[in-house]
Amino acid sequence: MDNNFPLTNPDAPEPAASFAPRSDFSLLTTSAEAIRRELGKVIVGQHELIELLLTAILADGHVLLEGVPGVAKTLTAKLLARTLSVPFSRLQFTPDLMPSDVLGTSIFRPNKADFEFRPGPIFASVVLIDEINRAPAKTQSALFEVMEERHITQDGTTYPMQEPFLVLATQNPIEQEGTYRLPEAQLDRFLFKVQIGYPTAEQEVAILQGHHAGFGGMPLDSVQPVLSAAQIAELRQQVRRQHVEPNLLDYIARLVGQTRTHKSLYLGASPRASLALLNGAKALAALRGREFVTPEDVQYLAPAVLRHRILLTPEREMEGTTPDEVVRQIIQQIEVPR
Amino acid sequence: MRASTSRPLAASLLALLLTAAAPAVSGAGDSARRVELPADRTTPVRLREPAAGRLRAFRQQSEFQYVEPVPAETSAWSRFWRRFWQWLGELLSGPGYRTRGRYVVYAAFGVAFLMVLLRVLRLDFTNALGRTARPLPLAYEAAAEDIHAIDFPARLQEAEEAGNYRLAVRLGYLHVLHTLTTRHLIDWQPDKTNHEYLRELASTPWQDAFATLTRQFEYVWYGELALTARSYAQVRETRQQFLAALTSRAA
Repeated sequence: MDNNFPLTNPDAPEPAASFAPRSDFSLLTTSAEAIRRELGKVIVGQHELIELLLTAILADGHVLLEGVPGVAKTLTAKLLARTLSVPFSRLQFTPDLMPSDVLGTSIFRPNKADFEFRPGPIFASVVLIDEINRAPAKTQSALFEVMEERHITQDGTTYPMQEPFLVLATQNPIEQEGTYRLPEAQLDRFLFKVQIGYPTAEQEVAILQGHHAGFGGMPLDSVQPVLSAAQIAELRQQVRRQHVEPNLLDYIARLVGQTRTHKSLYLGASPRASLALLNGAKALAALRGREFVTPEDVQYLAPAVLRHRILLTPEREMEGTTPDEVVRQIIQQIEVPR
Repeated sequence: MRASTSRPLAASLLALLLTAAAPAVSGAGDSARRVELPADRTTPVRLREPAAGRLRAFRQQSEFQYVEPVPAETSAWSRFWRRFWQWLGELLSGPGYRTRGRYVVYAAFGVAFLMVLLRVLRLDFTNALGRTARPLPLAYEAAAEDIHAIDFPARLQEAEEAGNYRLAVRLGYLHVLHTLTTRHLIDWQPDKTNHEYLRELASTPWQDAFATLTRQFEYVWYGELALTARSYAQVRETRQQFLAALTSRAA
């Protein structure tokens, strides 16, 4: 069929094509492997969760972990924070929490006759917000500016966050007692929403065995820091340089655009979702040892990026349709660029 | 204090009740002594009728026209509907109900129940009627390139002669996918990724070679790796070997 191809002197000293990464991913792959190993000391299974958390760190995005009580949401977030050698703080969201309890407040100094800003717990590199949907919308809105713009404004002064700045929030499903639905504007600021399910029977046996053997006592102590702030910054630089073929940009735009016209959706995803999908795919490709994005990366991340950014119509919600089902349907409707 | 005032009140209420019930109790015993009163025949019965002329005048008035006039049928469509509703009315309420009408009602209820059941269970019995299953309403946004309609040898030759090795690698890979599809080794769908096809080829002898071809395609197409004529020859050789093995094994 294509046997008549005229080769231009095959004996010429041209280098043969090397189908291997041209960038050095050694720091990234070894660090990711070390983090997986450290987390694996305590967490049984949850490989997808860990991969998405690593992707979020590399893509400079926040993560919302959702699951019923007792599936190690908080533990996973604390362990991940421990693998990063950066300042960490934890906020327990409660119904009476005020914005100043999160951001900080200005207090009057009588001796100097002026106000001094006392930073709140949000001033850390990894902030774990536990049970985020137990605080009302007033407190949630305090996070809008800091999650997107990485600084807060108090009394006319802007206070920047240090790098890296990563919010790991946990929440119970909204049907649970004493919870609020998060504002759409805030949900949009999370790169991924990861749903944590129950472990399999084998995994649960492994959890019980580990606990019975005494590993359940002080699990945090066994986990060692792997990455420093400077290394995270270096890896993020590498991720930003990842190659994206133009057809893939079009593919991402069409995937996200389809959510805005889908008949099962009341609210589609924003352009921020497209950016999240792009950045996430670049980070995931790097994590998989590639210097370019493939449709596989985009499809893999689409549910985690889109599920919290879209709203079903009341009819679909009553029928029991889930956002993941709609995302899957949208993926099926769009041809993979090839 | 309250107990002492309420006691005489209760006693007097009881006495009142007994007094009121006394005639009824005593009357129950002598029901045989019924008094028959004579019929009143003193008042004459006089029938009154309206005057015949006045009655005629009343009958002429529109308020007393109880039979609604049938509107003039303007079209065949309205005549059809009138006859249909008339037929349906006779079927469901007239004498025809016992013979035919009730079976129509039972059938309507049966069909409605079946429809609800199918809807609830989300079943599709299109196949049972001897037709192919209803395709999913997939509105492909992009103009899907039909790999079954591409003339691969001609297009490949064009790309190679033009030195467009990137396009040639793409066409070659699509050719491989087309061949795998025609040999029923993979199920081609426009939304599937290369790695999904790779998984479909798991536990077949083609998996490793296809993985190599996929890697080459992804580096050249998605990674935009520039190919020289020599490196393209390497890719082309791998592809041809794969296709030749596929053809010979299938034959």
